[in-house]
Amino acid sequence: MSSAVLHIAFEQHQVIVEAHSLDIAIILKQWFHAMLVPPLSQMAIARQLIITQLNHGYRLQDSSLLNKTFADTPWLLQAVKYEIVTSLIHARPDLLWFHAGAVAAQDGAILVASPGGGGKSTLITRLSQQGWCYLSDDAIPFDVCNQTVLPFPQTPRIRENTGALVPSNQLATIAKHDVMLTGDRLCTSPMRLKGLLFPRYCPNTSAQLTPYSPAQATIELLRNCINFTYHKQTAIQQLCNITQSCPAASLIFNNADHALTCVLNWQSSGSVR
Amino acid sequence: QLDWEQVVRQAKQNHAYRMVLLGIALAKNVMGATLSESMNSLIQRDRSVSRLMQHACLYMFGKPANPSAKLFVETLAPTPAQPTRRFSPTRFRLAVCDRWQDQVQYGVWRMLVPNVRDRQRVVLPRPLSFLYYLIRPLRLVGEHLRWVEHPRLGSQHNLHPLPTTSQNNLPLLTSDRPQTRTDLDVYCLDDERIIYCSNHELGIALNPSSSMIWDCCDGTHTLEDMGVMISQQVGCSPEAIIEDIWMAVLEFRRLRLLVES
Repeated sequence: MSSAVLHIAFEQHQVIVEAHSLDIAIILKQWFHAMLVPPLSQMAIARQLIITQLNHGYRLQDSSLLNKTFADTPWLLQAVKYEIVTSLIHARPDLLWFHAGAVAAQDGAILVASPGGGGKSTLITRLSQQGWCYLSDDAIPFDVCNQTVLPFPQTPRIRENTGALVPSNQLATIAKHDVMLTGDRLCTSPMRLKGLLFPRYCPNTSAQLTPYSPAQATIELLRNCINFTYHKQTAIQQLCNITQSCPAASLIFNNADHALTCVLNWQSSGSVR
Repeated sequence: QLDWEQVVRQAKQNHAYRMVLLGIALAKNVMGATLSESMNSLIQRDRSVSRLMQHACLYMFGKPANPSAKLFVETLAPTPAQPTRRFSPTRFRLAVCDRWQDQVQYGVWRMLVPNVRDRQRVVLPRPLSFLYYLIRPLRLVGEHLRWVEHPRLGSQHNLHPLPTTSQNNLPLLTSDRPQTRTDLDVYCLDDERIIYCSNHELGIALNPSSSMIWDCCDGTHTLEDMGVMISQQVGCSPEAIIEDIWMAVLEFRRLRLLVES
């Protein structure tokens, strides 16, 4: 049986995935294309995952207690992605992690945070295609010491536009397709945060960008903070520091092109420092 | 992000379709909510919803949503409608029912279930309170045939004072001196506040107005005191903001941000 070993890395920590299924390995390679490192890299191992193929499905294991079986490939892939990302999050608990993406232009990055289905990935890939550098799509770490966001460049995946609002519990039913970003489209160094954007997809509303007060932006960041419970009061203080120095805005849109125009106008108007 | 088709389906199953449409129509016309085309067409298809919406607005605000709309009461009442006349709640509730069976059920309920007017008419001791179920239909018939005078709520005739709660009684609340809990984490963002309650894992953002009210909740100021203090800061009369202060303090209380008095 053919197998492949992937080394997925973030900031001197790596997760090793041994996939005894070439199909699974190919998909994971695509999803973590920009985070792969050579096998002999001297990084600390945060986790080792093993995927074995069964007669009717797959098994996902690690060196400790993880032992799950999946009948469907999509559920396996989601579980593997979840284990990889959370392992890297746990490897760096000193960072504040957000369910957000980020893109960078000129001298700073804009953090784009929203719950699932908000249009975050669509907006980030559009900005990347406009020349902005891509940092992340799904999870982004913030270094509170240096006040910078770090690259976590999973391959962005955008949902098909159904033209309607889909309940959060049905988002998984909508097909996604990968947007491969390579070369100079990828940002490889930490970037100063210069703006916060909170998009929300709304089918019957034309694009509207509304400035947020620091308190509103703090609450939105709290909602999207993955490891808030690890830091609690410290996290809130850090978020207050961020929002007091960083302009924030909400963006309601139903058309990605109009949303892009709003963001570019906002960025060029001087509101984003 | 509601699945409106599901909402409509469930409303029909529960025989509450017209009520739900009315609520949605009010949300659109009174609050400016944006509706999908399918919901708009459903509302337009049920002509009674438009009439009911006018009456709801008349009941709530003293004027219809659309002043030029013809009111239900004008088409049915034998006498010309007066601008300040309030629409009968009973007729309204009958009109929002989907089926005649629901109207009958409501009518039976209205006829039999006693309320404060029955208790005003006849005062019975608690062991005999079951007799109100007989007294009520007799009272209604008697008032309809004008054998008995229709009582007015609040009159001194056999009045039993209803129990009051601090949540519903403004005079009771204005004498309170609300005090914020000391175990909360409060973060100042210029003129805004972030409040974090670790016990309930609750984060609250206060805008500048509610932050001013929050800062006054130190256990020494009544709501009237707050009205005076804040009105001097914002340059308006205390009467103009007292209700907003009351609502804000109620919300602080609901979120358990205040010391229980």
